[in-house]
Amino acid sequence: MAASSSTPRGPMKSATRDFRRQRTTALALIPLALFLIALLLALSGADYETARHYLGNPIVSFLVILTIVSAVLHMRVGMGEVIEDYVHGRFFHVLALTANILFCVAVGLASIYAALKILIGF
Amino acid sequence: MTASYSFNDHTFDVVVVGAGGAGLRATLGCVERGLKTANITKVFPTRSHTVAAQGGVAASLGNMGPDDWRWHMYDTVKGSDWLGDQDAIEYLCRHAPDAVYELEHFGVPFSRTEEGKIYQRPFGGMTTNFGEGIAQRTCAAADRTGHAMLHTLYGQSVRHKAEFFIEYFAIDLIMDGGKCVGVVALDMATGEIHRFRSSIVILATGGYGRAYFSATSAHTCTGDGNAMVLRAGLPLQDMEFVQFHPTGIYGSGCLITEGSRGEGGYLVNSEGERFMERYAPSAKDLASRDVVSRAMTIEIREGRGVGPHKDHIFLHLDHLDPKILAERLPGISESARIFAGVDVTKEPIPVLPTVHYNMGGIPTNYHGEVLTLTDGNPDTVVPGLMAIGEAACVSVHGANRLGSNSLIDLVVFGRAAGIRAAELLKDKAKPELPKGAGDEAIARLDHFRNAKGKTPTAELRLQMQRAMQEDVAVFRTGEVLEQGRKRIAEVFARRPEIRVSDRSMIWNSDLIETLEFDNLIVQAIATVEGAVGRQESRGAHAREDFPNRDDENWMKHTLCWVDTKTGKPSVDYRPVHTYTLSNDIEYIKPKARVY
Amino acid sequence: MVQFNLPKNSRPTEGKTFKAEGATRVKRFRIYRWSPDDNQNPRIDTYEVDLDKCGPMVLDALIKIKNEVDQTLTFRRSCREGICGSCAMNIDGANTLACTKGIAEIKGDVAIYPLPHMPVVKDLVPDLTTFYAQHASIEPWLQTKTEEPKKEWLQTHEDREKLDGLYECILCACCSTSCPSYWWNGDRYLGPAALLQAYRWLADSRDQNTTERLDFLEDPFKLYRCHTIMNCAKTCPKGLNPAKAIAEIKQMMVERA
Repeated sequence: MAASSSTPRGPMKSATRDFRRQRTTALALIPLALFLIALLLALSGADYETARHYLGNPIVSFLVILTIVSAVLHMRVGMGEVIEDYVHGRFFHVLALTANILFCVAVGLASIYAALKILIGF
Repeated sequence: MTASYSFNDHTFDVVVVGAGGAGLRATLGCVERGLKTANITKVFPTRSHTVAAQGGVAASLGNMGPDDWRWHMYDTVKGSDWLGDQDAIEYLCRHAPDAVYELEHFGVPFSRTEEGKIYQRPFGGMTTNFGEGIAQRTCAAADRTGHAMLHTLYGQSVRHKAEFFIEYFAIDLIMDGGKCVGVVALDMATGEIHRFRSSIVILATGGYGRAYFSATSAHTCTGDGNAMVLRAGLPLQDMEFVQFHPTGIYGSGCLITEGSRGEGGYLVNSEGERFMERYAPSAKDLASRDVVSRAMTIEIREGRGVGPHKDHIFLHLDHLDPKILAERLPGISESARIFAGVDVTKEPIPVLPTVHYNMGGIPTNYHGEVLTLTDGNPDTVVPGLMAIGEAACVSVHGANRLGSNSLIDLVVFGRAAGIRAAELLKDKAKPELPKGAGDEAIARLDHFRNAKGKTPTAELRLQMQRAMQEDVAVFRTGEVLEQGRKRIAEVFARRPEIRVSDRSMIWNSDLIETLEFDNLIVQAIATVEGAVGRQESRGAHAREDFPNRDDENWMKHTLCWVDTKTGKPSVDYRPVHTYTLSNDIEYIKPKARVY
Repeated sequence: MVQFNLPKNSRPTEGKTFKAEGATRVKRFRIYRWSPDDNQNPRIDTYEVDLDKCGPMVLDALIKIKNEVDQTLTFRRSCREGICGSCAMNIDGANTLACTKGIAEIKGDVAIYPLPHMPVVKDLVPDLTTFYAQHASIEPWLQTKTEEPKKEWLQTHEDREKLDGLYECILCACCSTSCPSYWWNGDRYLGPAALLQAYRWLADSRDQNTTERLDFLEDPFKLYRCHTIMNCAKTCPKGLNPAKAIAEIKQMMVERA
């Protein structure tokens, strides 16, 4: 502990940021997951066009993107925790953390691209 | 010397042996003053027995009402039955408040008054205005004051980067022509022998309660420093004064703090009588410990003990507000539940006077320097050797210590020792070790490690503990003490029979317990010898054949040497210091001691 | 990677059995034994103890065995009243103090092992060096910046009450060594005991170095390996709740962000 001059508020470091992100995304995912389930129930048995129509609705699309972002962030932090718990060698540790980020970014971007494509239709 | 042992050599300015309250405070003081200091301890510091102290630490802060260090001094002198040295007692009581404020600044989580000051509770023998009223002088952290102090002092030692040698068992001092030049210790985890060369050795090794069968003391309270001093050919002082705490839990001997009576608890006999009113009309249950222990013993002896065997006494706390119990006495509430199966809010606790504290120990002056009697000078300083805490006999507790005066003793004299060490070490060269330094310690270690007799150490230890328990108890007579002397001599004579079964050098607790027993038995000899010799009753030493205090012949400290090879004791005496340190208070003259 | 199985040389074998001849009320103590001197695997020795001639606590039985049956049995002990924290061990599957654990509380044989996942020095004696270093790392002393008062720092009743349930820790290591997260990352996660003490100083109204203390703990490992498994609170022989203290620290972290 360095005896640096005291400021009432410290800088937000990554550990606490991750902790808070995990909690806020978890909270956000409660209604978002309910929304997702409702959406899936509504679309069960529906054909491709109906589903596309639904997902083209701006409100639905917005909520879907929100769900994707929350889920991916939550997944990134959660998987990161598991890696930090169990993967110990420095090389594998960094490798696993990097792979985790890359995977989450890839999944997130792909999903958002798909959602936007349905919404805007490019 | 056996070839398989070799020394790891170290050089320090000061080596402190023991990491209880006194040892840590001294270590801290030495480190703060820039002395290169080592602390050798056989248990991790926070496991030292200071941790079990409950009620509090005495200092005349006056947070609960008027108080004065002179009143504290009067009480301590009276508590000591005038055997305490009044210069040392003045030093203790004068420095007590600052020592407590220092502890608070270190971080001790004291309980608080409404104004946010340190909470103080009444304790046995603590009065206002030279015996008139009941003083609230004992500063408390609930009933875990020793724990709070020890952990805080350990934290401070960490802060000052004190160098600890943890789970090192000190075997013996290295003496050179009457001067102490170091200490030999065994690293229990590796079996390596370490030889510490140092200008000053401070013994803070605590008491030897485990010489008795039932004691509030920890298993590790074996007075190793006292025995080292005896082996160095130096005397121990006032060893016949063994304090029995009135309220050890019946059966297990675990401590129930005097603070429980300070908060309003009281003792009753089988007739439901608050019998202390008869023995101490004004102080009642808050009379000093020797008085209460004797009263309880008489009640039991006269058939008014409680329980199926009528062999103990009840301590009532069930009339107290459960909220007060939870706030101020949570620790003993837990102890009573675990060790007596008692819910203190509903039932009384079965208690019995139990061996608790050794007033006697290594004679020192109030700087902590060890003294001996040579060529008629009773205050001859032993160069290079200091002692503090329960191991030492300064003597501030005289024939009977007041509750909460031991914790203050630790910090005041722990601090004094650090100050003195720094003064003594000003431009002083480190001593050279004499030829063959430590060889005797190794020979002793090797002897016991390979002891192939027929009797395990525990059997001899039990025989000693039973003899002490039965023959050197609350009440003593010449006849019973004589019997005790014989029984202890028999145990000593059986030492060649000892068998140690563990031959390993790594964490050989069989060997350590044997070395500890070897330490205890010589202290038992000194204790019985002092008790046989002292033909009077004073403080904790109550002779039924000599029921009165005899100031004319016995206002003096017993010094006892023991030839540790033959077990032969020899006794001499030192005068009590009948003067104070300053003109701020006059010598308190002896008078009848009534509570 | 984390190792989930014991290495070959750590797997215990069946050891000796010591009978209690002529006893009527017998309890069997199955005790982990390992000596660093011979290259043997650890073993489980079985000691029969006559409960009619033994005190009520597990420590009483251990001492009886050491005194009367097998002097080589090695364990730490000191105060025997639950305040020094020496005799912490794994008894009947849970970490606790041998001196306050009643034999009668245990059904069937009494299994005794050293504190889990610590290097063993011998028998029931674990090496706690890292544990102590972690405690020291949180700087367990009062830190202030303003000038010290001549007398005591004032502290209200309410502020002092905030330390209850924190300062009583005896550093027995039962909690930390019961924590799976500490098992996996004991070298970098401070563990419940050290964090309880970290919070003890954060919660002390007299301490003025809150920011620095929190900065020190701001780390994915030191603090955030706590996954609220709660073994610490369940096992604490003093009834403390380190998990709650850790949650309080996390709360302080979030609040100051």
